[in-house]
Amino acid sequence: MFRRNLSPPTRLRLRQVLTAIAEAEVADELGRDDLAGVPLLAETVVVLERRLLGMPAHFAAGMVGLTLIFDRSAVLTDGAPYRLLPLAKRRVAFARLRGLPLGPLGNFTTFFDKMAPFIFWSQLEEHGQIQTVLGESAS
Amino acid sequence: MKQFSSDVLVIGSGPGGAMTACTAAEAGRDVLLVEEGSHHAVDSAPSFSLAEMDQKYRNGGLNVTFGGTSITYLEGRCVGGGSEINAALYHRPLEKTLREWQAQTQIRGFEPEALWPHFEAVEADCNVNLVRGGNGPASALLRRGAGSMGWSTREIARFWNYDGDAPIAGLSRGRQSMTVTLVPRAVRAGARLLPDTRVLRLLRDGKRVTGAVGERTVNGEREKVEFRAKDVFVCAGAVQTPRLLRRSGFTHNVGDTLQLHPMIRITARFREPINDLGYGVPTEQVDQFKPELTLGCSYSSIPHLALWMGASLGNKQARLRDWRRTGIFYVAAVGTGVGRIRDLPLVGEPLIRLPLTTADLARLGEGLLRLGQLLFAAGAEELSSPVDGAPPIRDVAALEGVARVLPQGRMPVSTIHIFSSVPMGEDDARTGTDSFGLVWGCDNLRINDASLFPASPAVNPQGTVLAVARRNVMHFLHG
Repeated sequence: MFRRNLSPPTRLRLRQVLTAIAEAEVADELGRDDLAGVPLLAETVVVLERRLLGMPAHFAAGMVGLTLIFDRSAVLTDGAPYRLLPLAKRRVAFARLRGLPLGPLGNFTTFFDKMAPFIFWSQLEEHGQIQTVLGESAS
Repeated sequence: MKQFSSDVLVIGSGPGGAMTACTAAEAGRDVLLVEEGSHHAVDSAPSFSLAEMDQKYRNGGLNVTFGGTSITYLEGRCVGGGSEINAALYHRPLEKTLREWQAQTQIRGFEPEALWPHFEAVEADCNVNLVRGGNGPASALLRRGAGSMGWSTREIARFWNYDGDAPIAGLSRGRQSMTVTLVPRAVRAGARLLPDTRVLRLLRDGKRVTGAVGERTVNGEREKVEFRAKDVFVCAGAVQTPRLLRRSGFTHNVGDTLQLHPMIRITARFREPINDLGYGVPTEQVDQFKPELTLGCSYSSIPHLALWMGASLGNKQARLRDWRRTGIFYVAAVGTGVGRIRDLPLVGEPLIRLPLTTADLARLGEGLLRLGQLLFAAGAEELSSPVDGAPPIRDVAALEGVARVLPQGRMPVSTIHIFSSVPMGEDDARTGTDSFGLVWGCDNLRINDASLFPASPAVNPQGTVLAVARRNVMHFLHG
């Protein structure tokens, strides 16, 4: 498992950036910049991290590296590391990344665009809270 | 070091391994069945859920190939292998396909009439059945749309026991996977099952394999293990089988010809309810364009809809509220790319280089066009695009624009059908084994899984894996 090779400070930083990305993805899912009261976000991040670090070691290493570089690159584009940006700015910054011709690096955005929503809605389903988020009409 | 000995060592407990172990054990052989993954009950987690991915999928389902487009492939890593995690659909291949295989690599004794009895045995042993009383609204929709287009459809049987049960939503009750059928039969016949045990290397002495070494996890602790056996079957699947052979020094036509069925998915929203999870995986398929293309509908829970709608669809929450009117539909193609499997030095992980070819993209584009035409004919209001970042598709003209040129590298492509990494046949310039899976240059090492297929079966491969495995192990036992 690749996770065994991460130092505690790197692991902490990774968790912070994953939290920031996951919140932006969930905000996109729900179409809003305020996630107050949205359940199971922390659980979503935990599972997202487990998924990322559970990939084959060479992919996991690449994804961790790209995630941390993406965090730092926001200093140049938005004036602060990605994890410290307000949610609305994070949504814009990640959407900007989707629009770039990334080639093979497109796997980076695809991973989060696919896995974060899947994990979030799976968590809601598992805990019986989908209707809380979607509303009664979803029954 | 813990040591085990047996007449027959079977490595891998998926369909090929389970059939091999069961048939050999019932013939009175002393069989040891070794599986890298753990042993879970078939209903230990809901089908297609995160919990199931954690328990039963290799790397949680996140394995990808390298090429112009990365293809995500799924492998089971548990007792029962892929049979525990797939849609449990059963097909016989076309007679034409079997004859093409036979000619392609000169397989002895591979006439369809010699193979059909093995398929019949599989159908009986593994409870292959059709859904009772209709197969649900999504299947009815596919039939209706195809009918409007003048195309044929067919209900596909499943490895499923419907006795006393309605089809069960997202759960595994009724699934006739290897942990329900052949693995317990093998154990009842005296086979020993050793889960949580990874074989690292085969032990070789001249033209014979004498056993293998590996490691076993017991109560969270790893211990080294050694196996001694008179005969060894490697049945670890089309990716892991060639890896083990190459690590053990068997390289002749091993891991050089991997093929797969690339698949793309879209979501479609209708005016009326079409999504009833009570039917699990919809079993209707459009077979008008087989063998090259298969069109069908997937299990469409809210998390899976969110997965396949893509990031570009705005107001997804509102779209998900309409989940009963929305389904996931797929195009599966017979791929034309041929890939190589190698182990990455130091990392110990497979590196698969497999191109999604221009012909594949054209074929998937044709499939997308056909599927979209069918869905609009059946009353779809809106389709998601399979292309990352592309807007939804609301009419046939827009559909034609997307389908005409599917882009390399900007579209999630996945597969669970992987095969042909060590093909069988008498043409030793093109094959890694003889006509019955005996590895060239070795007297007692056999392969018995989807690696042996000379080419695509053009259908879900599990039924063919089981039938060919039965044929090969009976040849081993009885000549």
